[in-house]
Amino acid sequence: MDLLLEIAQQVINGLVIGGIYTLMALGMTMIFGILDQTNFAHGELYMLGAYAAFFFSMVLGIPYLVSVCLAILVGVLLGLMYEWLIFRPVRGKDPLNAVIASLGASIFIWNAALLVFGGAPREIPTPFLGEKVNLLGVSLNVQRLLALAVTIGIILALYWWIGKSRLGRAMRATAQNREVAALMGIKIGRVAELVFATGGALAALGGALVGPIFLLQPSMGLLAVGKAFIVVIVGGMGSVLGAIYTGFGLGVLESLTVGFLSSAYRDVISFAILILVLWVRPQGLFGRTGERGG
Amino acid sequence: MPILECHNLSRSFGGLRALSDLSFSLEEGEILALIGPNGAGKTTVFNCITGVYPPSAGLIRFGSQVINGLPTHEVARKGLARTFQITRLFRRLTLLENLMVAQYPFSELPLWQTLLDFRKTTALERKLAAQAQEILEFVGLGKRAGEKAENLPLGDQKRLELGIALATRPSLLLLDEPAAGMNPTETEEMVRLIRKARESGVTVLLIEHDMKLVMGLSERILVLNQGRKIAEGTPREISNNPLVIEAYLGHGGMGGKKEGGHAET
Repeated sequence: MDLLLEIAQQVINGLVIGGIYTLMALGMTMIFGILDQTNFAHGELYMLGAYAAFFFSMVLGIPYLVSVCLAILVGVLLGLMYEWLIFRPVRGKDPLNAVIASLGASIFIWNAALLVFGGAPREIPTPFLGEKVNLLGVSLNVQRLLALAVTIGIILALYWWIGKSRLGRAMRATAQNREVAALMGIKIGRVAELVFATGGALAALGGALVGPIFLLQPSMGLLAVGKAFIVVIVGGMGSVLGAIYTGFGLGVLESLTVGFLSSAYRDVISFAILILVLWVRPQGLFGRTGERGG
Repeated sequence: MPILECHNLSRSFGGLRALSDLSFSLEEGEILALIGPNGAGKTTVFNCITGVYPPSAGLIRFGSQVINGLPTHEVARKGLARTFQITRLFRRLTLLENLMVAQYPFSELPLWQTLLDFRKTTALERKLAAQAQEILEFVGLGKRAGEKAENLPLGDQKRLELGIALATRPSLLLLDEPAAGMNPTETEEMVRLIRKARESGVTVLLIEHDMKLVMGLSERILVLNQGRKIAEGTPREISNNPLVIEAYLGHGGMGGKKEGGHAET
């Protein structure tokens, strides 16, 4: 019984982390699938989202949940800046240009953050952090539950939005055939703004949610973007469904590894899976071969 | 006033002159066919008109506006639709979704309503879906609305593509080999659809190799060879034009033998 409880505990923890990976990976996989561009600076959206939440709640004293919403707005604005300043100028050129531009942006933003916020780790205390609920014998931190619930809710909403709404349809159409999409009167620049705003919002939300669970550091984006990349590649580049399954799956697997083996093996597991998938199924679990996009 | 006018259109790719000094115009409600051997520059004409690339020289007027140099999405919003020689659809969208994407410019709501006014957006979605279904019925694919486009056989894909083009509510329709790869029954069905579209007020400019289709459908034919116009006229005039026979049809393929031109190619 104790073992079962331990497993349940680790699975919940894993889902929380996995949810964050998913929030990050969704934006990256959309940027790749719809716009054919790779965003190495995605982790900085996550980092700045966390610091935005810190700023609103700790400096301005705004309640935590409101701060999270404001952090999402910051994420939207940052996403739009990414599109205008980093990605639009290199769109339609060699894809390597976007890789280099975003790598440069990542280093720049990370160091700017170090300069402005300082290297010392920071915390966001929230009213939920100390609270625990007991669910069938499993003791759960309310902040983690909140993060998980919000993440799942947002992911479901996003999935519905992409699948059923007019703008979601336009995004999928652009992913599948940009030329024909333009013939339907769809402006690629508009779609790109939408994609980056969405990606920025999701990443910032991730940062704002885990900020209180972990510590805030200017380098937190670098670690997160690495994991999100594994999720994007393993799930299949451009696949939204793949990112969702892989993100949560990887989080749970890592968490179980930490709980039952050693935390030293956490990254080993992730990268081993990445290598295995690239070897056996290079298009990713949910990816398509041949035809590009979507 | 003509709906489309091209004046002295030229287009070069590096040293290759794909189009030289091409002028023609299209009256409203007309069906004009663009024919010519492979590499004659037919598709280049379409690409210039739809803004895939600008012409190197010349002028394209659509309605009262000069449109050369405009990006594709703006040309499309002015009422110009196009289909491709090799069918281009959104393969992993359903048939209905394909048509609903085509209605994109007509379904714009202010951003705040898109995000917040759930009732209005769903009402609009319903209206669009109903219109899309109507167009699907028009092209004879009404029963397959929920299927993915990639699962359709080629003939049906071409009809879907025509439906998508019509869903953008065009006043001018450019069709690049609408019957390519079709069997005679499917071709007949396509001809019927194009006629029906024209009756609803659409002007048609088409590229086609199927001479039976061209002769039966078009009111006027324009013949290109090596980027130049070598003849223009009614199907009967064209099929009797010795220049055309020599340049394009070669070796007595049609013309004299079959008066009125219903030759197969």
